[in-house]
Amino acid sequence: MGIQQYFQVISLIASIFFYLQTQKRNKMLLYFIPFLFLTVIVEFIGGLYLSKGLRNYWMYNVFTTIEFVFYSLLFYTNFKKILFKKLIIIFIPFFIAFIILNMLFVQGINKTFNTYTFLLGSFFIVIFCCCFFYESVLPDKIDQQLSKQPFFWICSGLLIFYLGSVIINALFEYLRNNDLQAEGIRIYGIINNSLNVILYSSFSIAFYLCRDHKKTYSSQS
Amino acid sequence: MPRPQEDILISIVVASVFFILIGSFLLLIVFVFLRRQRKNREEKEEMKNRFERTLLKTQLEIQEQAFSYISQEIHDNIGQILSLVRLNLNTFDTVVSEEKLNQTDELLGKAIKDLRDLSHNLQKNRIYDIGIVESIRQLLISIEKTGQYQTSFLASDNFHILDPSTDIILYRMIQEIINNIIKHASASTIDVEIKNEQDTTIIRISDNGIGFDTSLLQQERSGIGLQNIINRAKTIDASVDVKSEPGNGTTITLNINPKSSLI
Repeated sequence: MGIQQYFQVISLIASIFFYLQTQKRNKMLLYFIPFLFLTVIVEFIGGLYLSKGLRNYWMYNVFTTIEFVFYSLLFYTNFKKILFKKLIIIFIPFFIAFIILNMLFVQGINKTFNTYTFLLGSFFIVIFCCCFFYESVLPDKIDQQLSKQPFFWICSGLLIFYLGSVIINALFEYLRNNDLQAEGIRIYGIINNSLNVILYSSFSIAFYLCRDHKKTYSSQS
Repeated sequence: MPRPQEDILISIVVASVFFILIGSFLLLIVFVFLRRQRKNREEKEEMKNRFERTLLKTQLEIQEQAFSYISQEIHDNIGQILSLVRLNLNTFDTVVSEEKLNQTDELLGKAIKDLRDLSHNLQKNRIYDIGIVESIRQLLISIEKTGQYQTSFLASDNFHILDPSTDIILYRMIQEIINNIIKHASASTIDVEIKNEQDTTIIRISDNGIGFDTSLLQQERSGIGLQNIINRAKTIDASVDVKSEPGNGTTITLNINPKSSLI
């Protein structure tokens, strides 16, 4: 089990724990529980496949599709501007169509990792993150402390993860070739695992911020 | 591993790190921007509060001054006339001479007129009603009536109409400057000029008094009255320029930008 898998399990446990702890059930946490459960399962089975020398691309290709759609829907629920919501509504069917076409005619379902769809998805997630930050700096949001908002941490984790992994995933095929395989896979692993640690840590922080706050009263001096 | 391939891997790592740094930088920008926005808003609110405090203080000062004016007018003027009327009435016989009757009537008429003038002068929001130009003109007329000063007032026709709240503070500043002239300058003439220069309204108040060394203004405890004027000026986004030297009178210039609004 790689280090990133421990962080995935921690964030899954955090999501369940804080979901059960909150009196008014948090919807975002509820959406995350099955998603993180699926993530842990996929990583585990993917690891098993790899240890037996079997190809696990189909699993990751399907999972990344679900992942991008999940994140897009998450952004949809958090956006306030209609324009940004519309962008997501247009993006999701377009992205799914692109994935299907790519799987059927270009990169296949189990031949290799679908880098084109990953790059397209990453690009849009980064755009959505920028849209969220734009919304956060609008005058009506100045009063809200950004670092205390759960979705800010999710957004930051996603931004760092997808910006950092875009090069390594774009060159996945190149790194896989025989000359670079040994070193390439090692570097791919280091970068990917580190980014996963950042992503799931920020998820855990976000879940922690979703907890119930004890009401305190303080008078203004 | 051959050298070119090693370079490629290094480039990939560097590029990935670079992208992560871009993301972190973006987050940093968002934080800095938000912080600055918050700070700006706080400053603006503080300025607004300060402006409102000054406005309130000024209104109270004007009210206080009005009360002292009423008491003085009633005591020195109307009270005197009415006492005379009473004296006259006491000297009335069963048959009253027409001359005495006319005299009493005249005195009563004067008392009524003075009372009406007083009432007009103290009408609420007088500065709002008659405007700052007319208020300054009347202030100078009342000073000239004392017989100790010669005054002149020059207002350009295209004078910007300022915000009414700004007018009160501005009027109070002019009043304070003129009070300072009366108290300390030993002057015989007071000149007030209001004019526009591009987007700025300039009010210049000068006297031919003893003047003073402007470097003394920097010293602690000296020039508290002037400091008060400068503080008031800040609240309406105006600047104060003092030109003076011993023996050569003083000129105080107020530069106001009517378009800049604080609230």
